[in-house]
Amino acid sequence: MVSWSKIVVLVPPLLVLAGCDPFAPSNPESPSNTREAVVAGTPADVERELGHSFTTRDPLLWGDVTGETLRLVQSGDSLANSAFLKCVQNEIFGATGDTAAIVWKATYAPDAGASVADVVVAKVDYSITKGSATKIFGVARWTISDVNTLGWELVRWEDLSESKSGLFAYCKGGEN
Amino acid sequence: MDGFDSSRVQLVADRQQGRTLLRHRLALVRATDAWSLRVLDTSLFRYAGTPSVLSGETFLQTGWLQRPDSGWSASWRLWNRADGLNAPVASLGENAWRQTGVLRGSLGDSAWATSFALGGLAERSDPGSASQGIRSDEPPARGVRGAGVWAWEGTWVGFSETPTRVAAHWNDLLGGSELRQANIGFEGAVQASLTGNDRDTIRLEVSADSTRVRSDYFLFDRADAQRGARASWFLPAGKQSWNATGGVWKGVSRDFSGRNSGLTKNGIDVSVGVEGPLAWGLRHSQIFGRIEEDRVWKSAPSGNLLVDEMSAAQDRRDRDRITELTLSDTLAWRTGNWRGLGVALGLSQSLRSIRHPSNSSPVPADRPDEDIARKQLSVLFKSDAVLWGDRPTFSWTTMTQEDVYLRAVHSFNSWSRDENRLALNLAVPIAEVARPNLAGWAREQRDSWRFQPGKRKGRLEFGATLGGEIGPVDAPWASVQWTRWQVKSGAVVGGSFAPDQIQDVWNPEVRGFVRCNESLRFEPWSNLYLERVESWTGKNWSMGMRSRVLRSGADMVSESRQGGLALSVGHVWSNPGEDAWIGSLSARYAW
Repeated sequence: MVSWSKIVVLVPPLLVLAGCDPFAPSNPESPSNTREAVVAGTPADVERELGHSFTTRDPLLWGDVTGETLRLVQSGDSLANSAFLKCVQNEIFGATGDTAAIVWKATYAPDAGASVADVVVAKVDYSITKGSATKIFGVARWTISDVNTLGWELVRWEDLSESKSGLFAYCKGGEN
Repeated sequence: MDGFDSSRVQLVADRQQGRTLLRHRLALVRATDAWSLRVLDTSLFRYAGTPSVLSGETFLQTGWLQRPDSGWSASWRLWNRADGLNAPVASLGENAWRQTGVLRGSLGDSAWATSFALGGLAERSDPGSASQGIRSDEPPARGVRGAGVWAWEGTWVGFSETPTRVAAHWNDLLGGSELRQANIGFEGAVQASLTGNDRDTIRLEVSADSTRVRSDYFLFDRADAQRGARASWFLPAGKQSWNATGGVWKGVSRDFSGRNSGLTKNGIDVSVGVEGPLAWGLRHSQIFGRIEEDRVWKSAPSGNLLVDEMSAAQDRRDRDRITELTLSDTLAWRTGNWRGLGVALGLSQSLRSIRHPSNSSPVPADRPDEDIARKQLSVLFKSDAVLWGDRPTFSWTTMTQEDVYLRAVHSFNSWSRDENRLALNLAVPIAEVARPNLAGWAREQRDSWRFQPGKRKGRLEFGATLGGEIGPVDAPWASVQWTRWQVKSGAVVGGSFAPDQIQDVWNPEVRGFVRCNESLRFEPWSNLYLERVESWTGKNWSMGMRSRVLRSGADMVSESRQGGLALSVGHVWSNPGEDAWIGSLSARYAW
């Protein structure tokens, strides 16, 4: 005869093994538009998340990993943050209905000589492909900072002088 | 008998980090055949800041009891508070007192007792320019307020066959609308055997308690009420023991100061457990429980109709319905052979569900519908040969926790955690002169977010403490302790940790014991706390915060049958931080 004690000991693990789990949580609904700010834990995360913001056309993610004073500069000329953001949103992310895939590729190399504990300078060889044509590519020097911010943020994007097809040339052309 | 005297006084002064704490405690008991008197006086004052300000509280309680069989007693209690004494602006200082005095008469025997009390309650406030009123929109009270106090209480204990106890009390104020202090309560319990042969025990309890307090001294104006009933049944069946309990309760709280929301809770809980021996020396225990609770919030009225309407609408959306399901399974085996070995396997599972049935379309600011599921499996190994107190010799715990937000507006934050813990505790006495022990631990956590596949975080922690006492058990010469732990935190990439911060802590401690004679001993001590934090810049590790705190000093303890004196003096060297002297003086005397 099977005793009560054996039933009590054996039934709970058997239920779990059988996939009948009364302690499992319910399935959640798919998220609506709500989102959580992305915090870059390392300077390299800034490059990854910024690339992700291009491929997903997500201006909020772009804002998460860029500083409020971000400037785009090249050879002494510069674009203010508002003009830079306008260029990225309107010219690269594109208007509603623009579904051409955006591909971001980059190699990220921190510059040890110019970096201190909370400010990192890195050389980024990047390309942005929209649709089938690679329109924007070049080499940039990024300044990434963790001073008084929640996580690391890009505060300066300097296209090096040899980048004739870089983001600065693209955005400056659009501005003109 | 001539009676007896027993009196104790204790004074303590502590100086730490620019702050001085002064405490005292005085207890007097004087008893004769005709009466007894008890006095308890305590205080705590702080002296801190620049320039230093003195603040603190005192409490005095005296009780006088006429011969026990006369049934007459009296008591007086005094609370006193002073803040901001010696403040640079004199108007910042405030003080207040509150006192109650009652005369009590009681009668009864071993089966029943009742008592009546009559007295008075008074409060006085002398507020400063920074003092607050009970309501934030009211000025602080000033002057003396008083009221009469009356109280009644009664108990009855009866029936030897089915032990029963019933008790009730009621106290309230007479007059004085600015002061409130009322409490009414009832409790009853009965114990019996359902099977009639006294092998099982069933116990039924009911209770109710309501309190209303408005006091300028305590800055309270609130009412709290609880009532509930509970039944528990213990039944041995063969070698197994069953235990079932169940209860219902209701709790209401209202805060009339306007600072906190009121809350009404209704709940019911049941629990069933069974434990006993199995074959091959195994023992088992299973406990199943379920709790259901409804919570209804009520915002404090503001006086503004529109604001109150909006608060009421929010209260309706916030109404919580909580259910919790728990199951704990334990399987253990222990033998007296091989110098005492034991193994225990424990599995515990729980699911806590929070729903808001009155809120069909939540917004981000509303309380979320949530399921929190936990599963934990533990393996414990014990050996009497190397046992360190009650600590398991070796243990491994693995657990998972899923925190799921069900509604679309919150579900983005759904996350889960996988955690593993290892612990090792060894005590290995060497002859009679050294008792070394070792504790080691390690823990890893991995957090992931259901709707954010790229977001994963991890934490890896490990550490050890090695130390022990040297010398005979009853008169050790020295104790030494060395502790080190490291915490790595950061992202999880693939299945591996990619830490971006490492915290490294070293904490050696040493203490010596020098006995000058039977009553006087001297203990020099020192401990060092070293902490380093390194951060990953993306290319290399960058040294972040470094902290070093060295404390060294000596304690002198003198103890006799009547009194004791303990003096501790030390110095702290902090980097970063300021070096400082620390000290403590404690004196006690009994007569």
